[in-house]
Amino acid sequence: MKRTFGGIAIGLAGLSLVPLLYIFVRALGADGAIWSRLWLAQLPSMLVTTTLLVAWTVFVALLLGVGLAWLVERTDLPGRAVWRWVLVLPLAIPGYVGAACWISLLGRGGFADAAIKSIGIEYAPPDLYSIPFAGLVIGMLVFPNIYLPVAAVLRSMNRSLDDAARMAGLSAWQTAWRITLPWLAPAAGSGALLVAMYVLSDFGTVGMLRLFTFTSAIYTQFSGSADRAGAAILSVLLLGLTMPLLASESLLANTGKNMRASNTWRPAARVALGGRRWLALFAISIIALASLGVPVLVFGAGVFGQWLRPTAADQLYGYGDTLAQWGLNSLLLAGTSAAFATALSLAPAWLTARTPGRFARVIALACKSPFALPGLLIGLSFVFVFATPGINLLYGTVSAVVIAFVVRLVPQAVSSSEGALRAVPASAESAARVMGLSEWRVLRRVTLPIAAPGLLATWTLVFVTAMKELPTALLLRPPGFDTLAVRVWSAARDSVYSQAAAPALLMIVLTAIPLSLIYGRGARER
Amino acid sequence: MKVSEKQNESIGRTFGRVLAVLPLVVFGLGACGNSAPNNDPFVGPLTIYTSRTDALFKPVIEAFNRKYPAIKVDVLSGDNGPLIAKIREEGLNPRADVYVNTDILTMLASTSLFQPNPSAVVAAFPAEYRAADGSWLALTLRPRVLMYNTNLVKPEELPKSIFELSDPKWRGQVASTNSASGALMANLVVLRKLYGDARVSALIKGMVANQTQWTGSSHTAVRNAVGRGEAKLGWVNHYYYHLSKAEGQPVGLHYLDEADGLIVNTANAGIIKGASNTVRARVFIDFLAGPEGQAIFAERNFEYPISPGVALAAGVTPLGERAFAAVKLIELAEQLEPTRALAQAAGLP
Repeated sequence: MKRTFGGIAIGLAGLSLVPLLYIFVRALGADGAIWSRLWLAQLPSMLVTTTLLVAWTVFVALLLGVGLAWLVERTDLPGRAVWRWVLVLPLAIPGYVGAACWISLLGRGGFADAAIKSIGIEYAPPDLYSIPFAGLVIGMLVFPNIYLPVAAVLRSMNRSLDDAARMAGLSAWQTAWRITLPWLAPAAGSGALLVAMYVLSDFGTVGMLRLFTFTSAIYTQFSGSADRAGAAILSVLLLGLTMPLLASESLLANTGKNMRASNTWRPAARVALGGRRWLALFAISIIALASLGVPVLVFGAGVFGQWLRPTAADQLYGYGDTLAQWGLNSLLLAGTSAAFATALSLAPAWLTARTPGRFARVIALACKSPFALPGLLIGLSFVFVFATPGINLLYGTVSAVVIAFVVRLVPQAVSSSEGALRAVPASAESAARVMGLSEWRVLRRVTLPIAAPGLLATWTLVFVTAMKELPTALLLRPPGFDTLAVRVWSAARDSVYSQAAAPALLMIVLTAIPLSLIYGRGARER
Repeated sequence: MKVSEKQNESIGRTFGRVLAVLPLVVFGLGACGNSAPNNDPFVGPLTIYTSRTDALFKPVIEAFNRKYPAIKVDVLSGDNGPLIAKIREEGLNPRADVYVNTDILTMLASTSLFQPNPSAVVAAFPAEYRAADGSWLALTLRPRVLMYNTNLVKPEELPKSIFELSDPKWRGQVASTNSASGALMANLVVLRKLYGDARVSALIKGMVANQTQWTGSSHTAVRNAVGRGEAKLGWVNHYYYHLSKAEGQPVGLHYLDEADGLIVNTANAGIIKGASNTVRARVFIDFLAGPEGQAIFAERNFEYPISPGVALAAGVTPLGERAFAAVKLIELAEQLEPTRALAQAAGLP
């Protein structure tokens, strides 16, 4: 069995590394003149925009993630069980959908603009095509990446730590500042790195907000010319930013400690907010409203408005009966690739969980490496792969999209499946073997059934990611095969925001349901 | 939610089956694209790659399907560059039958990818708007213009020349496509020819420093930015003004008063070499070049049809009333890449 799984895992690792290789080959083979042109004329401003956007978004997400986790886990805020569930849901909304929503609400010609103009007030609307706004929109949606690990650490912290600090004469604030915060740093840090990775890979939001970051520059290079050298060169440069991030993320992830294992563990005391708890409730409601309520309301109103009184633009762009088809395409694509990614991830996950050692480590690292590749780069690299004579039979088919999606999803699936398999007690497996079951029967009768709920959660998690994935589908989709993500993007990049409403709303609903199923269950069990 | 052991076991079995079925599904999905070709001119599939915006291409397909309801059309829309690259990379196993393009320079740079078309409808086109063997033909003409928001700009304030767009007076107030747009690149090719590299380079540097709102390859985003007042001026093809006007936006059209006249690009089409549905592709090209197709481009999209005798939409000024640039784009195909290099080196996103 080890040999079979080893074989599958090596194949998967190879599939994950091939795209990376293609990008390097294309970039290094490119004309030196293109390198110097991009380096001198494009890189400086692009680097400034990208860095500022990453820093500002991470700041916003840290503030929200750590602050909200503290409120929910350490204070007597009302409705904590509900908040634990609600605060995960922004993960259902990708940045480009959030941007489309806020532009149709606050932009020129948007809902607010029309309302203010109708009462005859002259005003200057906020500059939405800017770094501060982009950071707010993205931060508001990605903070759960920080909130989740920080909340987990806060829940697992031992009360005796606080008690000792207080006995040593520290005030409650000093305790929070000098004991709790440093304790949270690794979790918050690894979450922040995830957020930074997200911003670096984000393609839809910046494209929509006309910001010239690395990913939007890569797309411009790709869509401008029939020659892909420029796009490959910028991709290699972007990898120079994402690879170190990935490396430090895995370092941080290994430093987390679980204090709950200690037998003197007691949950930390909650801070009584007193009258301020209503203020806190108000603040958290505003945040939830802004990140979740507003998109649903704005897109809902958009769909309703179109149905009530379609504009000339709506008639020109009208989607008619094809909306359901886009939804089906999205479900088919996300469901299939999530199933493949989950099933395939069993091989490297099993190797790591059951046969630890250098081989398993190397394989796992290779399988997880596409995580450093923004979706745009995965799409691009598979364009290179499928352009190779002999392999190009698959070019422009749904299979090509599925393969690229699987590579995009495998890193997340492997991490999650590892957890699911680790939850299976090794003693149960050896007991079954002693009873005379073959290795494969043990896997089928013991391991998989016990790990099933965890694997189902893995599938759901990667399904959610796949539903939101834009660039891979954009670059590789066959004619006539549009997904919801592609339709939101193509309407919004043309600034026809009313036409983005229906596919965006459908995407939020289809993604939020499975997301709340896995996290909602988790919240109740705690 | 408590999952029973029986359920767990069945989930486990499902995972096993998924693993087993995996290769089958991948092959199955792959096979979808490879149905056997049939030579019925009016029944069967037809695949089109187009760099036209979905919404602007949809009416054409709808009209085509009213005439030929049994031809099932699949459309992939994208930008000129990647679509040409895709056609080239698909090589001997092309996925698409027809390419409908929006920039003559990209089309001419890749003529070897298209097959001759002996159609009589194509042969009836003026010689300067088609290849001698019919492998490409121009469908419509689209002059480059400025459009402006009539609430924010008075006609007398409008720039006389495109080079004024780098004037600080327009800081942050101009919207334009960037180097991803074939129409803008072709425009710059002509400007280079007329005024030389130094002035074009200075124009781009000035526009970048002037915080021009670059919308990628989307002209629709430019026209909406002008219509809503996010920008005062937009650099577009003429019909984007008419589309905005038809939607009731407060926009005006401004022909640039360049000494050498207008810059005009064409939308084009060709049948891809090795296409599996060549017969239906010819039917489609004949439709585009014939009176019905030309009329749709003219009426729905306010373009200038090539085919003589097709009426312009109401409000569209006949081109004969304007002077054209003395240069012919068709002679400048090899200038596209050097122009892109110049523009990007000057900082054009």
